[in-house]
Amino acid sequence: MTGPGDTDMPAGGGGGGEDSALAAEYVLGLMPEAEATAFETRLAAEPALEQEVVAWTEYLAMLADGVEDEVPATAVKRRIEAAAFGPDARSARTPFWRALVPYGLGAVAAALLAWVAFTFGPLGPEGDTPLLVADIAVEDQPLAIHAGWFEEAGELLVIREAGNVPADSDLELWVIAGEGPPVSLGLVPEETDRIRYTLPQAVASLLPDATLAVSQEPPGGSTTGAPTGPILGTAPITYY
Amino acid sequence: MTPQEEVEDLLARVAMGDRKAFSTLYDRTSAKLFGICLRILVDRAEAEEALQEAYVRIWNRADAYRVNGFSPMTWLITLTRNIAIDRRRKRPARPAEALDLAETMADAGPGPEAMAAERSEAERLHQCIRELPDDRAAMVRRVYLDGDSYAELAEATGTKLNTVRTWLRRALIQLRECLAR
Repeated sequence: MTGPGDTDMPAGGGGGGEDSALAAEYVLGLMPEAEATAFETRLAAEPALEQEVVAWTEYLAMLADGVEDEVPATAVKRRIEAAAFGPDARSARTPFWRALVPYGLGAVAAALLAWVAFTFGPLGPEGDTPLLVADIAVEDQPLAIHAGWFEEAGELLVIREAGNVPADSDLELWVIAGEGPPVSLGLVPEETDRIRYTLPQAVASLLPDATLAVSQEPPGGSTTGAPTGPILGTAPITYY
Repeated sequence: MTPQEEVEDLLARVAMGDRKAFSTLYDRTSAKLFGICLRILVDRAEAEEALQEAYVRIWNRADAYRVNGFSPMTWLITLTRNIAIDRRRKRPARPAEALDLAETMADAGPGPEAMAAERSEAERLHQCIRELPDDRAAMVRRVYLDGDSYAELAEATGTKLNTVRTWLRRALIQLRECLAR
């Protein structure tokens, strides 16, 4: 074990009390950025100063003994494991296309795409017809969602035909191909009734004969890469 | 195996990509690390985000742990504290709370988690902090545990920033001399 006692702080510290105070300020995060950078240059060259930093780090970490433990909510662990292990965390079998998708399609990325997509016209690209369509009607709710895939433009048009996005939440669309895990397509538009998403080829290739699903998620969409809320409805994706 | 060796062993397995070890490490350490995040960030949702960032970094960087020569809990605590403080500094400033001397009392003494080998060191630290004037001891705690900056300390004490810096540096030198005795 390496305890602060092993570092044998000599009286006066590496280069005197002044340096020791600097080391402590550095550990505490109190230095202005420029000063911290200069200090790091010195650290690289002065082992005694480095030892001082290590000793302060060890001692000050002991102050954390006085902090009340607080057990985080169970969901936090699931989220952390999903974030750490990546989108494959829940499935041992990794579908081949997973390797092609950098991070799955995060809600944030989807939201950014949506922002760009707002500027497009209201219908399919220039009189085009969609190659694939799916219609989700949500039971017990006046919510109906229509989605169309325009192959040439590489765009998914999502239309909220009826109903509203429930308050304090978002509706997220997923494509489920075979036994594979759901892959996010983006959020159902809340303010407008339609939106277009440009899908990466790897995601678009999942669409034929797959299932379109919509789940209720916290505002901004799922943060885990998988649905976290109830699935409100599903529909087969069919050729138009 | 002491609890310390156990955490060390878990970190070594995490460094090799052992998910089960990561899960166990989380169960052992998350209450402490979340406590630290919550203390610094106060807001629960923000603290959860910081905790997530910390554990993802632990998962990705556990192999770096060996290199730096820290004891395992120190490494975990420092990494987590720095992430939480980074987030705290990046958000818009909030009005500082007045410096409360009661804080000095609340944190006195190491908790039950302190290990036997570390206990004497920890006791020495707490002893040395008790030797500081109360308001200076409170400042040291506040800077480490709450992540206050000099500017926030100055506001909380109604003093000039440079004065606060001089006070704290003097307190640190005194603390350091006590620890070296």
